[in-house]
Amino acid sequence: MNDYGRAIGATAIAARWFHDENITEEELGKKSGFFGFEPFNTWLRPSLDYRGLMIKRDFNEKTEETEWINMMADLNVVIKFDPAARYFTSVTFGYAPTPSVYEKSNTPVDQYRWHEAYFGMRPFEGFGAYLGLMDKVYGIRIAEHSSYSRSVTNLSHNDQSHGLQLHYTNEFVELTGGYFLGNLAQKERLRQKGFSGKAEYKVNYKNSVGVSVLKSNNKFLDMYMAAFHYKTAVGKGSAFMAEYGKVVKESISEKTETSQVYGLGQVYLQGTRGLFLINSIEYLKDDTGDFRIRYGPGLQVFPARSFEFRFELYNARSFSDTGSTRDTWDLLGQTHLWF
Amino acid sequence: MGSSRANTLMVLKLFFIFMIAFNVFTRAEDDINRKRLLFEVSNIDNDREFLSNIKDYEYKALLLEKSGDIDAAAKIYKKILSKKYGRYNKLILKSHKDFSDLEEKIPELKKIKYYYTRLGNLYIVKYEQIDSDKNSFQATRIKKRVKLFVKVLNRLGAEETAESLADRLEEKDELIKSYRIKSNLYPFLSYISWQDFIIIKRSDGSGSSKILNTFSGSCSGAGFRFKNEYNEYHFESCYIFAQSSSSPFEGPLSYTQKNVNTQGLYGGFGYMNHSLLDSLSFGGQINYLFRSGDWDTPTTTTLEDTSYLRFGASLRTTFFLGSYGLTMSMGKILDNKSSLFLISSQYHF
Repeated sequence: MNDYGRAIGATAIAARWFHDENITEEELGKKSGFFGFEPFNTWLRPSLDYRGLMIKRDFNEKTEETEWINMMADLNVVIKFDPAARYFTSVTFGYAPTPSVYEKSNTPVDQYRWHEAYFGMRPFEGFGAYLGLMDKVYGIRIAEHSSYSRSVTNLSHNDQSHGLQLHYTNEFVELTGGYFLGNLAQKERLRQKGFSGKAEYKVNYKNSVGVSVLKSNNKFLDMYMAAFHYKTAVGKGSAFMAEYGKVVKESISEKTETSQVYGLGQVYLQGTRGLFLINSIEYLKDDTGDFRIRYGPGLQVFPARSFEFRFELYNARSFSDTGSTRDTWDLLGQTHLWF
Repeated sequence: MGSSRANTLMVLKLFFIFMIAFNVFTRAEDDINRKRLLFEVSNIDNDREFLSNIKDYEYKALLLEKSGDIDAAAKIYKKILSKKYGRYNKLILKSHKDFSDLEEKIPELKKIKYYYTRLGNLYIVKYEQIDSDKNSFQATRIKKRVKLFVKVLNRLGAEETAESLADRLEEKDELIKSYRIKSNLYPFLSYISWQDFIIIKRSDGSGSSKILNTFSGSCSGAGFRFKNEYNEYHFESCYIFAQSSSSPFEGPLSYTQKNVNTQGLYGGFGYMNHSLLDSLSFGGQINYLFRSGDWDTPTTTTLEDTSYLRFGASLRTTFFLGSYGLTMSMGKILDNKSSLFLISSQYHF
């Protein structure tokens, strides 16, 4: 997050519940730096970021289980090489839990990893180029990394890749595209190499529509995916977003192809400063015609700068020709701290 | 010592009584003066010396303005305009001419401008005092008057005052508009899904099982809403075409069936709040669900709850894009398993 983003977070998103009435918004904006200090200099921006999740699976059922997961603990450092930040580098190193699929296997998984390490340049207005380890560009990057739009596309919070990305924006369009080589920390045969791109047309000041494509492959798997998305800002601080896409995965050794269609609709409604209502609905359909719908009303609270609490209730339902299964209900409570 | 304390208390008591008495007398005197003024104004038409008492009446009008007696104050200004400046006043009211450059030639225009400024300010206050949620004949009449004063003040070169009155008029109009209740019909098409049970029983009564059904289908229908800028009340109903997959949930009997055709009705009465944003609302609905499904009944068994009427409640969010609305709703039908959710697209006429 840059200085501007931090200031907006402190003065427009987070509540003022714990601040004296006499403190001005300008002062709050200034004190939004590392641990609430004003920036020490013009070139170095360190930050710490932590996310923890309490999940109650099968909520309110006899089989209810509660688990606490430390999802992320990152240290990020941004170094600006000029006052206007036209040339900069961003590195993020931190903790990520072992993915559940590897928890019971013998596969060693390193829990400490680089999440970002790239050099960026924005030499002209509207144009940027980025080289290094970063997230691939595709679709809408919502915060819920377990959403279908991020999990079936393999674009979750540990799926960064080394590569080159170019970005261009003007008042009508935003174009981003890049080539990636996979995460160089992985074994060569596992690295997904390919390209991705996103084109967004700004219909007007508040509405934009876009398309995304991604193609990649490694020794075992070919992946193709494409998506449409729509974003609209509603009033001050509220938004509606939707994404609809298809992912095709081809197993090279087994010569089999599977495809999945996914959808996402999400409403953010700002009740008051620091308080948001969230309403999400997700859809996932596979080759067999079976599909799942996940519905989640939620509440997001920013009581003060650097603190976010999020409560969500997810009801997932499976639809299958082979029979009817019990819905699952999960209650999620997320703590997000950043300094 | 004791005597000194008693004296102090006595002085305080007397002071207290004096203060109350003073306050009561002052208020009573104010009230008498106000009543006298109002009586004098009501007899203004009978005052043969009116033209020679104008200064006195001007003063009385200011006092009445201060006490909030808008009509009485306005009556004085109108009387002055018609009695003392009748010829110019008629000309200004009837003609569309610009009089702003004539003030030096006709000194009376300055005084006329003053009285219209006072009248404009009085009538705008009167308009602002009207209940915004009541669309009365009186409001229309007062608004017409303010508009006339805006025109006259513009003709007399008091553009700033006229603009300020016009702005206040517009502000109040917006407020009245926001309380105005509009109604409209909205057809809608929805995706609907819910879970419930049917009961399978052996005909000889030796055992029964609960069968879980998961429904997925469409629900098309129409609704009617009453809405102002902040609140919405609606009722709606839709016809369900859905299919269900059925599997054993608990009990000794096994029963599985897929693609069970189901028809029904779903709807209810709801409230939505628009006060945060006009294009995004949230609220709730009291629902009913009637459904009837075509399950096959195996021999030597009977099925229960293949049709029912049940009630429940739901929470919903609607996002509007012009006349189109997209609703996401999640709720509970009593006695049913899990939730009922609905995604609906509407067109608002």
